[in-house]
Amino acid sequence: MLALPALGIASRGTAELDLAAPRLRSTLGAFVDVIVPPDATPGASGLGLHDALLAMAPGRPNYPALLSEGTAWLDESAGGNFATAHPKQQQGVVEIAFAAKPGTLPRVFAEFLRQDIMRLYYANPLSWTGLIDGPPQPMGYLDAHLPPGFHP
Amino acid sequence: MNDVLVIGAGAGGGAAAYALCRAGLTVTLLDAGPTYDPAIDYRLDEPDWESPFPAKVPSEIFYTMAQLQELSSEHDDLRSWNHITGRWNPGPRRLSSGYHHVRGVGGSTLHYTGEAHRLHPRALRVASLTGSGTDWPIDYEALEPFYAEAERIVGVAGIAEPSRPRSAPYPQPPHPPGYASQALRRGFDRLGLSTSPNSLAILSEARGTRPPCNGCNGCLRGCPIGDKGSADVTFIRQALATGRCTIRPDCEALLLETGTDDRITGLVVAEGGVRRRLTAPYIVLAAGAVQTPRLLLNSAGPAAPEGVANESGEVGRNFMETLVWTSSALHPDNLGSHRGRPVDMITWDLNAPDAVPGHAGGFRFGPAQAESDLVGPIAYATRVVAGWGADHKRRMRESFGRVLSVAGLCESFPHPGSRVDLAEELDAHGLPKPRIHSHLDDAAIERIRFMARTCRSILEGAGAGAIFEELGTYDLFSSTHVFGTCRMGADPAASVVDPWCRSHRWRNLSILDASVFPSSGGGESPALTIQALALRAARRIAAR
Repeated sequence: MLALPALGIASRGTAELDLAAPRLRSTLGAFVDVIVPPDATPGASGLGLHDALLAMAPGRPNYPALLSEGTAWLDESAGGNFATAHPKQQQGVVEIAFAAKPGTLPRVFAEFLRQDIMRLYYANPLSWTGLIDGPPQPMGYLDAHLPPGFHP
Repeated sequence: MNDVLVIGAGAGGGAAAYALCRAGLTVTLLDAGPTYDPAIDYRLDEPDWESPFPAKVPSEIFYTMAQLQELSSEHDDLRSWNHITGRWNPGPRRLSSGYHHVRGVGGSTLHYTGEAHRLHPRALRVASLTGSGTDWPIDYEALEPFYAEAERIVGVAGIAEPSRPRSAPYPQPPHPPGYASQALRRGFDRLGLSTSPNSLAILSEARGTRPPCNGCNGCLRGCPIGDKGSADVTFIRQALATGRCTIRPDCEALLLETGTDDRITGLVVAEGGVRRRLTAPYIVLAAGAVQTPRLLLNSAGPAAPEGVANESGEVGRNFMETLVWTSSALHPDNLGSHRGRPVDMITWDLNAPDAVPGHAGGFRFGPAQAESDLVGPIAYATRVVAGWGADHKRRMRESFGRVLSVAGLCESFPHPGSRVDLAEELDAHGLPKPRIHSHLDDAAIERIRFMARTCRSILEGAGAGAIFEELGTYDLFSSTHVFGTCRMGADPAASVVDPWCRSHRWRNLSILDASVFPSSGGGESPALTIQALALRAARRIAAR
């Protein structure tokens, strides 16, 4: 049985640790879009976040196993293929993951991935529409003492 | 060979180098860390601007932490938490989240918020007034001219306040409180606490080549335009302009050598992978309250068997840390609270050491969105706005700019369980690293509880909604300001340096950093006091 001590869970030991697998990539791509779907700004997969997660996985203890087993759980819970499931079904599966008992694979996967996806997504200037106009410099905020958007 | 060797190019070392050079002496200013080029190294104009200060050297590898105390369920109201991620420290013991400092030319002023505080005059008599802690051997009047000089050199913007007499007005007008601070002020008003613009080493008007601050709120990530008065762009720049200062970055002090005539005869350093021996008639040690005692203790030898300047046994003892509490909540209105200057408003009402009945030591409170690092989209997405999906994106846009954070800082008193000693773990040069011990007694925990209650009440009074995150030092050791490990005093048996910050025994050694503080003050940021002490002591060194 594969152990995931750094993440506080025990692996089910059923998944291959093959991060190059097309199925893993497609499931992860669908998952990141459930977490951050497209609207006025791109969805997470549109910014390549699933590939970014896969790229940073080898450098993080137990992360490859988390991605592999977490996406396997998503597929199994969606009746075989999370990526091709109906969006409502995808939503339902992710809701189950977040509501699962603390320390279980789906809960740990959902919570870890949520934070990583948010960090990567909101580090991209294409996500900033409606939030900030750009980095704080070089313009700064000369209007900081006034209500936002106030133009005398 | 230069006249003076200054070890550490932070607030104290930078100010000392300035004053010594201006007095006509030649100075070698060395630092264990690199130099930073604000225009190149800082990231506030880049897409990854929300990253931490871009330290070139990870400071956390240069010290160790002793095991911290067990936590009690009776203080669960003081645990640090976030509504998305849960407890910051889920364990049964207090955890270290770090001694936060920058190793480099400019030291921790490179990442400070620019607060330029004078200590409350009564804080220097804390023991006489409260029965706790230790009085300073000097009074406010002895420091005042040097406070004024430091403010002038740095370019401090502020407004006079009655408890701290001044011989000259602030050199720059105060910054107007940001719009978010104006909202937060309603919470202070409800508690009957007066507020004023904070005194900041941040230019409100252009000065020489330095522009005024443009309110980017990014001081902790390094100021790329040079309006913040970090030591590198103020004291050190002016020291270099004299032509009498030589800087040696990436030059790590390893051992002080001692002679038989109570003089320091040399300094062994590591520089460019080579060990060298440097000498100078006078040595100024300004490496901070963790590395300064470490160097002294590591330098033990036949002439100083317990460590250099440790004849009293006080080197490393009396360690005082940052005691802080921060609460954060969303305000119903868009305040644009990511804008401005990090701590642009403050209340001094509770700052005297006897101001709060039932507590010894002073307190200060102010806004803290930037110090809580709640000013960017990543922070909002991971710590403020819960959930996921389309609804999360919508609420991100609704919530951005509405965070209000308020922080309290307070007095830290010496405790036998809080000290810096030598660890068994060795550094890359085979020398013991410093080890920080920290213990909070019941009185310290009650001061944190007072800050927690006050912060929560301020947010409620300001009309903020439910608190979503609280961070305090009950369950996390997290120190930016550290003090006391080489304290000054008139009695050689109970202190390390005299009232002029010179070693009681070693005639050519002065210590000019916060390790000489006999008490911490009531939450004031220490940089300006370090600089004032350094200017005062350097004047004396030059006169000798």
